[in-house]
Amino acid sequence: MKKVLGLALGILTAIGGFLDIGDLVTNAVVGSRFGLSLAWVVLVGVVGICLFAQMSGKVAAISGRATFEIIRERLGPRAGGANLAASFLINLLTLTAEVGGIALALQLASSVEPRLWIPVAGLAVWLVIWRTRFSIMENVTGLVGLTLIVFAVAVFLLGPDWSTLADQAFHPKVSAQEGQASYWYYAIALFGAAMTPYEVFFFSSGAVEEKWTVKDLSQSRMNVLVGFPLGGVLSVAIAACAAIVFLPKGIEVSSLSQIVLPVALAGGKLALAVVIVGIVAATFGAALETSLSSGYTLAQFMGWSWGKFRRPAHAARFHLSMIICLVIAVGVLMTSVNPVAVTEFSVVFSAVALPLTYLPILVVANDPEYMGERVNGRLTNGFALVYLVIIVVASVAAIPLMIVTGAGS
Amino acid sequence: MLASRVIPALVALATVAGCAVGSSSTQADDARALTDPLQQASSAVATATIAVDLLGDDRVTPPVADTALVDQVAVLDEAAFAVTTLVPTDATTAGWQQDALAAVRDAQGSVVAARSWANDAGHGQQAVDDALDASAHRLDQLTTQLQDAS
Repeated sequence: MKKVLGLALGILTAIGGFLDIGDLVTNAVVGSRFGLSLAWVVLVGVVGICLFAQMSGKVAAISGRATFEIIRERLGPRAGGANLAASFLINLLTLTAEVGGIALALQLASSVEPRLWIPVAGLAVWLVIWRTRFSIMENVTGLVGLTLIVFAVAVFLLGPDWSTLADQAFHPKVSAQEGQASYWYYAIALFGAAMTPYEVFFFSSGAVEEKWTVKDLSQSRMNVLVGFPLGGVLSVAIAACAAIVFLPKGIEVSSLSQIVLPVALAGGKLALAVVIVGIVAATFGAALETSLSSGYTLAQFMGWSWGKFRRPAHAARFHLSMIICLVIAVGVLMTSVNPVAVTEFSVVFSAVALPLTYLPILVVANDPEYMGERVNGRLTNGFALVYLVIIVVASVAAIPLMIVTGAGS
Repeated sequence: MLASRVIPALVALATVAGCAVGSSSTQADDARALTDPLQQASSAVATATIAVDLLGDDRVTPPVADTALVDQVAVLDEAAFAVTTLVPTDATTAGWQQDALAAVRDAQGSVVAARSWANDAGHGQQAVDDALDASAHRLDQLTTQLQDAS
């Protein structure tokens, strides 16, 4: 019974923890402009993140070491350093977006200017990282984030024309008004949002934090293979809400306040309260994960003592690096930069950095020195190679498409 | 040798030309350049209408409606900036620019009035709805006219 409950908790946490500000904003923007014609990208992204998250979790469980530690050892300081620089900067950008997302969600609850919430959000993230146990932190934010299921409920309550939605999803077309370049720019943004690098660093480091062994692999596989796809369904539900309410009226989503309106239209104040709680939990959880990922990648690369399982005094540089990252994120946001714009850039630059994150994981997962007999099978490697091609194409095309489309505007 | 000097010079010239003020050269270009901010403004007015209707039906809280409306004020500011910074090609497109600016300014007034109502400081919901409808209609008409011209 305890095992079943543990499994259920893991899956629910994975669903709730799947969404972050990048997913919320990008899916709503895409839904308002392209309907469900980019839903296939969510599917491609979810399969990719399942594949590589599971791979990095397996590496951690078998070797007992987090992915980034092995990457530096296996690839050497130069290649590892390039990987660190790219991952760390993307992580910092994503952290900035998540802290901004918390502030925007709290503005919805209070009408108080986001710049007043930003330092509060940053402080709250730090306090939780400093004081709370890893498992509590992960489970609480994941479970509360599960309230975002209200987007899926809203789709049904809005009573859409299902055939139109199905037609958009299964026969994707690009409207003349939007153009091919914008369509593919947002396809890459959605892909980047689904496969954000911090997710795998957090996943593998979390495996070490929770002292996974080979015995835990089946549970982690279930969490990933069931939880992440259901999280992907919520992503599509966000896009569907925007497609139902905004697309016919020619409304383009540019703020978080717009994203909650379809839910209010469907379910009134109760649904609205639930979705705001969900957005705060999702962004707060992701801010915790990105802060920790910043500390993990830096500490693992530099060989510092790291981990929430250690007292802060015994992992001082790990904790200090997270504090500095939070201060930078808060400082950037206090310049009045638009958090939604930061989010849009973070998902596209995530796509640019994807090969640097995922290629080393694949290399390590095939190294018998670390994995023994449990190196990747042919099927996994076949899928991974297909994904590497997709990732490289997305990475190469992201910046040119950003320039050509004026960042999708 | 010649190519190694001429090609970078041409690239630099093209880059500088692309940054030059008043780079649009035809009426169609101006019409297209004005259509984008008008559509942006229409989107803002439509969002404001939804927020007002939801608040009127007691389906959103005042903070959410207020935030949605203030976000649309920012969108309209961007639209107004895009219209005002266009350098028109001739007298016809200068007239379009004035019409577009008047339509966007009118939309700003309607959304600001909606925000006042949402904060219990303005006219009744009917007046707010009527103003938003009139702004939306004016923006749509002008957008259609410019799309035909582009």
